[in-house]
Amino acid sequence: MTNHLTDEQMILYYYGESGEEPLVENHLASCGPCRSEYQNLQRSLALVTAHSVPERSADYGSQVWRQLQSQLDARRLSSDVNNEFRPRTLDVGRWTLWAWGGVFATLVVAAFLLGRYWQQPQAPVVVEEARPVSPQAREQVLLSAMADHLEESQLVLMEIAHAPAGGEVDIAASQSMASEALKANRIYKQAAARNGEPGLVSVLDDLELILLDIVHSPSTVSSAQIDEMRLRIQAQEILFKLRVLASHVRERQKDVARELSRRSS
Amino acid sequence: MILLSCLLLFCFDPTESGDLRLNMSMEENDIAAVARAREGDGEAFRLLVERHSRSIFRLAYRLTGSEQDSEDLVQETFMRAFRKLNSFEQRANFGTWLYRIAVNCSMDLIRKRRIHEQLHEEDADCGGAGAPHNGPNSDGRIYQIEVQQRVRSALKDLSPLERAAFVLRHFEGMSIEEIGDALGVRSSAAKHSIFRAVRKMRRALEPIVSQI
Repeated sequence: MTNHLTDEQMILYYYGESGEEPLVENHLASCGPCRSEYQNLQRSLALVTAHSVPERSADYGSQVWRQLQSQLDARRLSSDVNNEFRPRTLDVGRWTLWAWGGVFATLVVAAFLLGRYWQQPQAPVVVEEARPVSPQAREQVLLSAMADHLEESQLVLMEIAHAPAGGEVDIAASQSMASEALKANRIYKQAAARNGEPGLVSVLDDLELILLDIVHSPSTVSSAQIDEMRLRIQAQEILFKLRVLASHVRERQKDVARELSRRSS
Repeated sequence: MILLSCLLLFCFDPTESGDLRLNMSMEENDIAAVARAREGDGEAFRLLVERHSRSIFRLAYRLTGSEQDSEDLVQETFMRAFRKLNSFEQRANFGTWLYRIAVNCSMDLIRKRRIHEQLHEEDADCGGAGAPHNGPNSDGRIYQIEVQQRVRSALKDLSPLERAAFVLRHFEGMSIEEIGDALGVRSSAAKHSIFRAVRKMRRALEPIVSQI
């Protein structure tokens, strides 16, 4: 080994994953600059190692279990365990309720969008059934979902915008989020178009193109590709637009919540 | 005879072998406990929670840097594990499987936290983030606090993937291949995330290291 060691070789050697330990050892023994650089690496990582974690007592596991007990599905885990695992009054655990709550909220949003923006049938024969949810409550759910979508999308774009410069970048995690955001974005864009909101459609349109770009890129992209994406995000000022939109939606959500609370009181 | 005893002592490290036995026995116990928990044995799931809570807390804390978030993540991890218990493959290591869940929960949280921080950064009160220059602390204590803050801040500046890969490699001693598996990315991606993370950590700690 005649050239100096790269920092990647040093990092792998430090973690015992070099695969060429004897060569690196020999080189470090004979090369002053590399030895000094490696000692710096050791010092930096030693500081990280010293990073302390708050201690938890020996019975921490029991505390966690006690908290979990009240949340877990009592039916699934049988109750014949020394009476310590008490069945709850409800058959379903809290998480199940949350899951159903999520499904219900999604259905309400979908129903609201469909009802509000889909074309009316030629011969309306559907008799409207009882409405258990007020229009304000539905709007509240819709606004909340919309704001979440805008914030999630910002997160995806920020991950790309702040990706490290130089070398290859793995964007697999961002792609998975972008794919989810893309599906939601199409629904919201259609809804906005039907509602005659060209400004919103335009922003969601721009967002869709960028999300498509991310989803269809390879999971590891070159520095040039990531720069291109970054430039596109910056050129369209999409992050700023999403932020403003999300802020408006959250404000509107608060107004609706206040209105709902005023009516109920 | 003495020579033979020395040779045996030299070749046979009782501590290492003890650890190995302990780990193997823990794995066997975990697998048996998972099998019983799947059949509805609450006591078995309790054993798993009690055995792994502290390590999951440590991992969550290193990933999030927040005690409260880590407490919540421990709960969330076991809730998810409980729901996915049927998808756990008996051949796998329960601890590694649980780590994977904890890392995913943590990464979700970090991503959400990041966007909220960036969205509300103008409202954030950053007071108190600097080293406490006034106070009864000794120089050594102040130095330690500064190091801790720099490490925490450097970890926070890593992307979620970089942070997870680095924490799993540096603190948890997982191999690059295991990290790729745990994070659902290729080994090369895990390796490059570690490289980037180490470079960033070094840059952040440079002012301190240069004084050592």
